[in-house]
Amino acid sequence: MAYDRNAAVKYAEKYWNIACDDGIFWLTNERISVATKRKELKAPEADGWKAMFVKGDGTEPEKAVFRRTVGGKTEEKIINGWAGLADCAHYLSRCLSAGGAAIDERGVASLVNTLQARSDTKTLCEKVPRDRAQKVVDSGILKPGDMVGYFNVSTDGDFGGKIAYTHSTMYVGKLDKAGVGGVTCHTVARFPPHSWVNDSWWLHDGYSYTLIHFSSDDAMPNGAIVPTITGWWQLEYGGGPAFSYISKNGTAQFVKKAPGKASDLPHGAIDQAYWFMESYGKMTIIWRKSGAVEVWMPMGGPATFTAMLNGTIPGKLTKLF
Amino acid sequence: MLIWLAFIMLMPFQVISDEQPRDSLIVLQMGACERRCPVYRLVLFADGSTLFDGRHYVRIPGPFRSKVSLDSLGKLMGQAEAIRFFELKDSYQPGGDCESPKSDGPAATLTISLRGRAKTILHFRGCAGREADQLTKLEDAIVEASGVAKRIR
Repeated sequence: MAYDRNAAVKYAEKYWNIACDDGIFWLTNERISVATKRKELKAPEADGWKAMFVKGDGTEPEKAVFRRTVGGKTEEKIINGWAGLADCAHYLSRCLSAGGAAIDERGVASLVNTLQARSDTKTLCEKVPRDRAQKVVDSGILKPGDMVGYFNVSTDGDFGGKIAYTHSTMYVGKLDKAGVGGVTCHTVARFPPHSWVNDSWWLHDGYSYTLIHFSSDDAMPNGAIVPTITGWWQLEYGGGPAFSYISKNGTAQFVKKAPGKASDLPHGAIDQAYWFMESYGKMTIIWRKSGAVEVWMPMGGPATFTAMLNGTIPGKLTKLF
Repeated sequence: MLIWLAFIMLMPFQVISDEQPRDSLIVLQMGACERRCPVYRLVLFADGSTLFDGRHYVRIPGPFRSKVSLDSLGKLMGQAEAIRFFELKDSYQPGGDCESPKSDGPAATLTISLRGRAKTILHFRGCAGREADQLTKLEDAIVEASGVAKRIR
């Protein structure tokens, strides 16, 4: 079944600040059952109590509460304060499952691994810096419903500077054309523009970013153009030449050593990529390790393109074989 | 009686060493942030004894007692005087006196008492600006001098 990204985003819009439909949320090392907490705290649903994530007390970013409004007055019972809340991977699993990608993970690293192992996903970039991640987002290949993994690289960062995946979100698109994009997540709860935090993207220094794209609804490459692009290319972007091998299966390999003949295989690739083609032949190539984005625009002739690297560096392309 | 009254009145200014008045006190509370910043409280008393209480997201949680030299405490007080701590604003937070606020960062609450003066400043560490930067340096120096940095991270 193809991934239904609209269903995933609709789910997120409904559950972004409340406990998920399975009636649980996660602390760092503990599963919290909303039903059990209702009994403990005497907060039955029939009396209007709703399990919610809301702005925390004082400087705390968030807390989990039962909340209801009676006669215009808001009443609250605290389920858990900020310390320990950690529901991002669980929430993302529920969102993706709502889109048809059945996933049940509560750790970010395992969520990334599970997604990367799926045949219907493509890891566009892996642990790349913020500016490179933004270029990938700006390429338009990342779509609402895709996943963003946050790998802490700062010793001042999450959980005492743990160098590891520490957060996960789902991309929900740009609020405006010039915007950087927005994400939905739990801990802290977001669904732009609805949230008490004014940072709808959570794209910060101190992390590197892994962007995982569901590919089942990607446009099919133009069958007339594909044969003209597969094979070896020489690339020049201001520096010395480099070489790419474009495969017809949608991947590319990047090497420094010039191939000798058409049948040479790209051994010792420095980086690998997925390429995406629009119907008129525009190619977007996203390199996984570096997060570099190449755009090839067709010039009309066979295998003739203008090229741009990361939106700013013009390049020269030569088809070798 | 008069002698006793005079003693009490002068008590805040009485010194334990050449540098440290008896009312010297530093209390630093570091609050939470979305990136799971360490939450702790640190108190430095006039005699150099310190009390650290690591609450959340610290390497070693719980209370911990230690001692700083009076010389170190004196240097911290000197640093506070140098940035005119008692004349700074009460708050450096987004929406107030805060340049280029980041969207996330811990809020530090710093109280210093010295020679009959006491002041508490609420400082969002995601704020930039000369005075906010000076506060950040002072807070870092307090943590460093107390020898608890390794309990935090």
